[in-house]
Amino acid sequence: MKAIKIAGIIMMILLIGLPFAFADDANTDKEDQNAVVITPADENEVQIMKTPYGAEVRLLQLERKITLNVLRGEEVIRVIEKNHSDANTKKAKEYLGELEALLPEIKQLLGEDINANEAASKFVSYKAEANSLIRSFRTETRQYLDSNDRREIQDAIKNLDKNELKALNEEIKNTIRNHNAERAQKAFQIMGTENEEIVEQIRDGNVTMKEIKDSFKEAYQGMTPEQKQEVGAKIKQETAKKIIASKEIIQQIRTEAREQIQTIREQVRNQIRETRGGNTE
Amino acid sequence: MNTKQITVILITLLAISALFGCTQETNNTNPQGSNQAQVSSPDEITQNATNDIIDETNDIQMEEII
Repeated sequence: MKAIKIAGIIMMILLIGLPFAFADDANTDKEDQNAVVITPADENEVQIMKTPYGAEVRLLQLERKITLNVLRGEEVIRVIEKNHSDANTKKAKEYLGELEALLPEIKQLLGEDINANEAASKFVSYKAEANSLIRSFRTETRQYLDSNDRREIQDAIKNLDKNELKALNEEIKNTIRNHNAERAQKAFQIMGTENEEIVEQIRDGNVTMKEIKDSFKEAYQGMTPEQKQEVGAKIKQETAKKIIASKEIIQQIRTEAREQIQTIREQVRNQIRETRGGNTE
Repeated sequence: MNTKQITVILITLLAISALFGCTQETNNTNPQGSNQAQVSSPDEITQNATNDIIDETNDIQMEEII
């Protein structure tokens, strides 16, 4: 009888403990609901931001995308105002103004010496805010646009994109090349060798991805079995480090993004207010 | 009767602990295990080296205004 009592007590403890075993997951779910959504695309894009060149590439690409959307947005408003005299574009113009006001902030970030995690975190925050403004602009203007307007806008932005973004496109291309050259150099270092020729070719943009891969393969094949084993272990170590670094970046973004977006909004509003003040003076 | 009851209780307890054991095992599956590269061939080595190299056409994904 005593044994039954003991067994009963153990079972009760287990039953009471059961909800606590799953409580952790439930809390995480609640926290996730309040967190800023980080898309798989964001996670993928911040991977290269571990290095200064990688961070520069992503921030320049963000600047390019926002510039592109601002230019296109201006065309949208121009066409709406031309073809629909009764349309109210006030709200759409405000969204576009706020989107444009993100550009100096991003440019400033590009000139700053900030650590990789901070750059990635800010990149995701600026991107999220830009996306939100673009969606609002689209919702606001959609009601006025018919198929003729859309065609007119598409024709106008074709040439616009090429001219206005030429310099920025060139800058992105060169930064990608520098990034790739640096990463290739690092890969050769891990393999205990060097190949300055291919690194220079990458920097000049005179090499294909296949040729880069072949050069790595060649370097690997030139190693002794012991070296191969050593390199294998080093790469394993590097991969583990990368995974940890990526997790840290994502964690930092999760914790900081919400607050950062608020700061960005305030900065943008202040900037617009200052510009308006300057214009009226 | 007493022995029977004890046996039933013991079997129940064993079943519960086995159930917990399984859950624990599933939870403890090394999350990094699947991500760790098993470097064993030149292809994997080169793939690892080229992972950080990005194509010049690579771009970020963003909403379009129109």
